[in-house]
Amino acid sequence: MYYFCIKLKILSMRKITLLILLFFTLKIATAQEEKFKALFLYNFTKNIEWPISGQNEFEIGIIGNSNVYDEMLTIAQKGKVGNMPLVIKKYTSIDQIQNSRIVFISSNKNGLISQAVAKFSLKPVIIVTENTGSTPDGVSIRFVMIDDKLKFEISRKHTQKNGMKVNSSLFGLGKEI
Amino acid sequence: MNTKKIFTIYLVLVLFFSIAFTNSTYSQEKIDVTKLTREQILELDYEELMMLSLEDLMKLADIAGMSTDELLQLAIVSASKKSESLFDSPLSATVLTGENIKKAGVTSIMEALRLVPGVIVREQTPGNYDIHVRGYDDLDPNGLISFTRNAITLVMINNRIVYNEFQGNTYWELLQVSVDDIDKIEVVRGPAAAMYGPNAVSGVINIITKKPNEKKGLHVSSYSQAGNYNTILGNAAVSYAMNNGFSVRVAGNYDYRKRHNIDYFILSGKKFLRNDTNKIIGTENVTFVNELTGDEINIAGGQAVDPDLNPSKATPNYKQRYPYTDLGTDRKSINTHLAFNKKDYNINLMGGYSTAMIQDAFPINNFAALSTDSMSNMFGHLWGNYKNFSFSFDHNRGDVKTLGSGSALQAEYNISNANLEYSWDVFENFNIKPGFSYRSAVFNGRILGSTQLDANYNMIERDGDQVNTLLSGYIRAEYKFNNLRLIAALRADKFQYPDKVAISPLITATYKVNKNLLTRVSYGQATRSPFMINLFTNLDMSYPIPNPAGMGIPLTYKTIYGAHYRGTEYQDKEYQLLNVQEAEIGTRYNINKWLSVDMELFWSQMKNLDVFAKVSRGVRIVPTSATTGNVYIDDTTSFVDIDIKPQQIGGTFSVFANPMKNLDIQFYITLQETEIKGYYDSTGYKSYYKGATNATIVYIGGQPAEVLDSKKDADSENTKNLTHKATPSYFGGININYRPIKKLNINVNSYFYGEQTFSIGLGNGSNAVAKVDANVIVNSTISYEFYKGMKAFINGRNLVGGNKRQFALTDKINTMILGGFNINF
Repeated sequence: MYYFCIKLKILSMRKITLLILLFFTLKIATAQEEKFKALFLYNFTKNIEWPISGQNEFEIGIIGNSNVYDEMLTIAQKGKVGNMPLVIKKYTSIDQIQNSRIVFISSNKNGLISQAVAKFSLKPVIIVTENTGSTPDGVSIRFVMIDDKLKFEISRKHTQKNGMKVNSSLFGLGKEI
Repeated sequence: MNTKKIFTIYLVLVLFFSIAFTNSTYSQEKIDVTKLTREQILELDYEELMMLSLEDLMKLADIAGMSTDELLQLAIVSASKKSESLFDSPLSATVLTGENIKKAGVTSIMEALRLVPGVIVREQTPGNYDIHVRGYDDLDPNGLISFTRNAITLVMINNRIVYNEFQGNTYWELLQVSVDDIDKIEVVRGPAAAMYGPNAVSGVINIITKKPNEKKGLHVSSYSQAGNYNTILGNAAVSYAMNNGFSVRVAGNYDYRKRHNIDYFILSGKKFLRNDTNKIIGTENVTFVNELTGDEINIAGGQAVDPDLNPSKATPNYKQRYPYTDLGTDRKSINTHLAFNKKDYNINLMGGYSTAMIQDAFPINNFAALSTDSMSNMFGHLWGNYKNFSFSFDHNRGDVKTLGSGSALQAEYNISNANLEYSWDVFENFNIKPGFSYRSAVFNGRILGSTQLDANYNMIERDGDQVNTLLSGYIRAEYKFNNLRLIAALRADKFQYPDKVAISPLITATYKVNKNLLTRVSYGQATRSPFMINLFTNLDMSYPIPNPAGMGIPLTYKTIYGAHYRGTEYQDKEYQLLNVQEAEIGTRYNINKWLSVDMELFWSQMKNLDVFAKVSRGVRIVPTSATTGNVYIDDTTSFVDIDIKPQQIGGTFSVFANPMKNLDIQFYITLQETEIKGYYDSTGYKSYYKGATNATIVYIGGQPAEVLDSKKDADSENTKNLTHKATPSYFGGININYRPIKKLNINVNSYFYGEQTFSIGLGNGSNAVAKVDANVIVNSTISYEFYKGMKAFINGRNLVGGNKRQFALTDKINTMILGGFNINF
């Protein structure tokens, strides 16, 4: 420990403070998995057609604490869905969700899946989950990790409902359940 | 060229690269995703990614993998025999990716380990390194001959053990793979013998090579560079992956380096002094000499050990021992990997060949601190898995000549391994993994079990193959309960020699307080394998020497010196298996999204350390007439268990920072102290000799001296505790990658260590005490991608901290400037 203490003394407190300030003002780096999940979610919007709703923006709702939210915010700044601006909203409960067309439930909120399924079973809403043992009934798409690779499972029944149309290539790219 | 000049040239080139390329950007052409490397994918921005179709995006996700660039989130298998993130691993561990190795401009796998916390890496001669995990090196400060190579770290390539039973170490120069072949290197610190078997004592280094099916179709890669001191490092590979599940990769490596300074430390410290007419007129004292002439006096006292050679030189066969005095490294290797991956099947077949000639530290050659080693090896490895069942079979054959050509220390070998394992999910959250393995090591060497009547090495009769086998069974169980994860592993290893079973337990517990904080605790024990030299050495040499002064030997008598080397199987003594027990605690904490720390504290104790020491001297005086006769002086050297208990306490602290998307910083430091408990002087063979009051026992017409059990005769009152100084008390590094623009990567990395003092037994009863100064080595590499998948780089090694000896009695390592290409398409 002696040597470590010497090393710390060498760096004066002022320098350390400056260094810390510099670090906090810099942009943060993010993880691959969340980044690609967000990109996949964005890509789903290009491959699914929702019935006309009269809304002038496309909302994706995120449930739970996930970096997918931060990633989606970045994507929303740069891209649109058709001509509509993309809006990302974070929710803590299913009840709060009103206008989302995709609802992403992060794995730390798996307990809310059944509630979401019940609420959106008759609405044109895609429910996307992650890291559950198997895809719960009613969920449209589930992200799965296989050998460090990001894949997804997709339910034909729960995506092509309530007026939504799905590009058939999506069923080829994901594992149909 | 001096260091200053080289450094100036380097800076000018760096500036040129920076200015020339700062304003360039990627052309806006359509991205062909199948041709991108992982590194290129990670550099793509959101706009580019958002334009892609889902199909292309998925292809990119597959190539990139979901392991993040955050070092604590990289996937690791070696730490628990299960794929998990490094953050979750139950033991102290590090993952080093091939990409990060290349970014740092690393020139070999050995040097790459400088980027791993807790590993001591000291360059002995250009391209050759001493590598120890956490230390425990050169433990007996008075051992007659120190085996400086590390015998307690298990090195594997794709889980294939590359440990060699001859001297009980890894011949790093003989690895059949090099930097360009690496997917990643997983390093586990601390005992892991319960999972991997003997020799995983201070840790495990598992080199995972690139998969041939990494990319569909044809893929070419090369990581090659050349620089001063005739350094040429060439690596190239071609792989092809078919759609039917078959893939193949063929790679070749070449590594040639000359020494930066040519000097040799002469062990005897003496050289013949000649006059103008070339007549020997006496001796002079020397330490390092720049040129070998053969007049350097060897430990045998200036006597030619080979009587057929010209005795006008003190060491007449020095040219055989040192065929290329300016050579550091000359190694070549090839490897081929065939893979079949489909559904539940994953089958791999790999083969390779390597050959190397190097000069490195091996102070057992009676002459100089460096020795020329030449060796070769070939292997075949079949491994894979089907559902929950996995298997691995390999065979290695090769030869080692560790003291140059014509020496006694050489052998041919055949080593085979078989391993079967099954993973069984008994119920949710409870998994057990039973397995068994078998290893056979067959050696045929001049020193092993030989009986020799003459000093001429060529006359040694070999005593046939020496075989040791190892049969092992093991089980690993894992149980998860909420945030608590428990892993227990137990392994039994039954050796043929000695006829013993070593039990290695490991128990770990991790508790994940939340997703950003993990604490862990572990306890393990591990055993080192016995090896051929310490089991089966049986060598008798004799040659005439001048009559020693002070013994009152009449001038009309001749003195014959006999050197006898004995392994434990040739003595009436029991082999004690070296064992280390260790306990450690650790914490990993993701402070925020860009800053993480990893801390580990460890305590360990070693027992049954054996050292190669002179254990007895016998003197016989045999009259042949009234005035003439022979004096026989017989020294016996063998492995003795000196019953000391080295203890180590320390900690490693690592920080990972990603403050900007284009800036990665890693800093790590290990602080440790090793104390040798119960030490006594093992070279004091006087104390081993019953009733002896001085170094010699004279008896007429008798037998050579009896070898006694050192433990029995050690004077326990004279034992003391010593602070071990050959392992630096602090060592670590810093690695910074900065990408100011997409195509440009600037790396600065540093490796530092504290002062060390080595004590190297010279073979003549005295020791060389060599101090290695504390050092901070700074390297830097700038690489620029001039075309997609093609990078040119300039690499400066030892820009700071050069021209110093990093290991006892070995070479000064200078600044090196290299230029090269890193190609991936």
